[in-house]
Amino acid sequence: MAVTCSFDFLEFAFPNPEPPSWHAQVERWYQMDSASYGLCELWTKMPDQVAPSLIFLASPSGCNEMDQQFIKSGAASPSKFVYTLPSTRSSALLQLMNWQGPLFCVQNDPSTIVSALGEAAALVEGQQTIWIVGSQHTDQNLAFRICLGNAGSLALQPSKAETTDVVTDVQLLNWLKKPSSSLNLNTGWILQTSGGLA
Amino acid sequence: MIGITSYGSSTSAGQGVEALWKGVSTGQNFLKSFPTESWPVALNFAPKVCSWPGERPSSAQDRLLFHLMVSWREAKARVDLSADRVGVILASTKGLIEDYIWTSQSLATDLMTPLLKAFCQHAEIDAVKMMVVSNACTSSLSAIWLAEKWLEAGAVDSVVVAAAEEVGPFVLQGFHCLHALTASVAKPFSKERDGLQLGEAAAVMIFSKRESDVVVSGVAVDVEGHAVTRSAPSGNSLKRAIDALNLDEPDLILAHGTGTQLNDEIEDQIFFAEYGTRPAITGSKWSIGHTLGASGAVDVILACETIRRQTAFRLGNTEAVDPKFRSRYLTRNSDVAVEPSRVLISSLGFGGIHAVTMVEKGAS
Repeated sequence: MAVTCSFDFLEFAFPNPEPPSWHAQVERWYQMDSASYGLCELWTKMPDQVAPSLIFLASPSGCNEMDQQFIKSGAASPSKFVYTLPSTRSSALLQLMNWQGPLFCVQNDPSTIVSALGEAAALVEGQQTIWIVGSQHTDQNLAFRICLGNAGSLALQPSKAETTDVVTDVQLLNWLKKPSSSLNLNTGWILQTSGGLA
Repeated sequence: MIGITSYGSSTSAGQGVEALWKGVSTGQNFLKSFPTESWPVALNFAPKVCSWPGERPSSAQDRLLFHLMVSWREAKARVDLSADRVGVILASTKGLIEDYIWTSQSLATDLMTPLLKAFCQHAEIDAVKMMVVSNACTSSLSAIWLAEKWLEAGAVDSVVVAAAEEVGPFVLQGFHCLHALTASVAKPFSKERDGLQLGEAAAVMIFSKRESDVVVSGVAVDVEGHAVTRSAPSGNSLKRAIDALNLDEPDLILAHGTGTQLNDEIEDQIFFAEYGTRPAITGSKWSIGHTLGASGAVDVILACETIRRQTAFRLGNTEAVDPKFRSRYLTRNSDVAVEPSRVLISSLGFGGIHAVTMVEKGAS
């Protein structure tokens, strides 16, 4: 059965010298890594989504950026060290959302988000809503959220048509930003605009 | 419910589950102190602080892969996967961090997936599904949650959960600056507890829907938005995870039991509130150390062994329990005449993440 979904994203500046609007709610916000910061910014600017029953935190490139920062800053900052763990990335977002529940930090480069999307599509059922959140750092910092199981302009259609091509996160995010026709994720799902549903 | 078909391990107690069981059940502490006075280290510093038995000057990938393969061979010897569609999940927190962090090169990939792929290649597993789960210290139990979903959905016939963690300067310094390490030995649930000891481990578990003499009857993960690192002192997230299992009481608990003040307080509070003094509580980290993302896998294996052997093991470094605590602990001098048929394993991690798994006697 097809799964409807929506995609939100935010390009953000980091580091930002100005305190964010949510700074009072997150202790030591200035020591966050860019992914955590971006997820909070995205949530603050686009909070109107159905609360999820489960969250996948997709971490393309893991926490490589913060690993380097921890070392370069003298490897003495506990706050920097804890942000070298993906699960810590979700903490500030969950504080802003006032949410608790099952959350899974997953990686499968170069298709981390693609894999998380496949997992979420297979799990979503009934009235459940599953989110995939994360961030990507290429030319710009981009935080994203894919919401499955509630209304949206996109749909995941089960498919047995697979190719040998690996669909990367970069390809997926480019498609999500400008959806056109369909994208075979090679995880048993084809992503398409809702209008294209059979 | 999923069957635990087979498993293997390599820890500081030695290669194989028998060495692990023998070490923990006879009260041996295999940990040595990790030197931290040499920080900051120079680039290309070769870590020499590993607790793996023997010295092996090699890369982190070589070391982790070696111990994963030791575990895999032990697990694989008891099961035939040749006709199965197999999924593989790697549970780890920092994976190959020590291989690249001391060089100036930037890494274009995460630190776990290369290890997962190398493991599949060496183990000759043509995986139909692969994933890395990095839920801090709950990574192994979280991986079991995903394994259960894959099996329930019929996406695979068997799931190999591989967990591996090593302690190099990066991880060591991280915990050092958190002031989480004890200067002596970890004494979980003791009044004298003052921190944890790190350890290294690899473990492989194979799950399927086939009948087995030990099964996972439930697994639950819960994350709270309380604070960036520490769990809420109320322990509500751990309670929610236990309640989500919705299962009969365990007769033994393998607690996370790190030996830090907050961890042990939360566990005592919630276990007592949930079960009173009925289940006995023990743990393994005092013996083989806190093996971070691999610790849940090691404890699931030990839980299986307690059920199969119909006995338990003690908290070997703990002579007297913190008088504030109300649960029932298997301390150094306790009678271990427990005949477990249902064992609860708990894991608590940074980011306020909590996971529990129930392992019990199966039908076969």
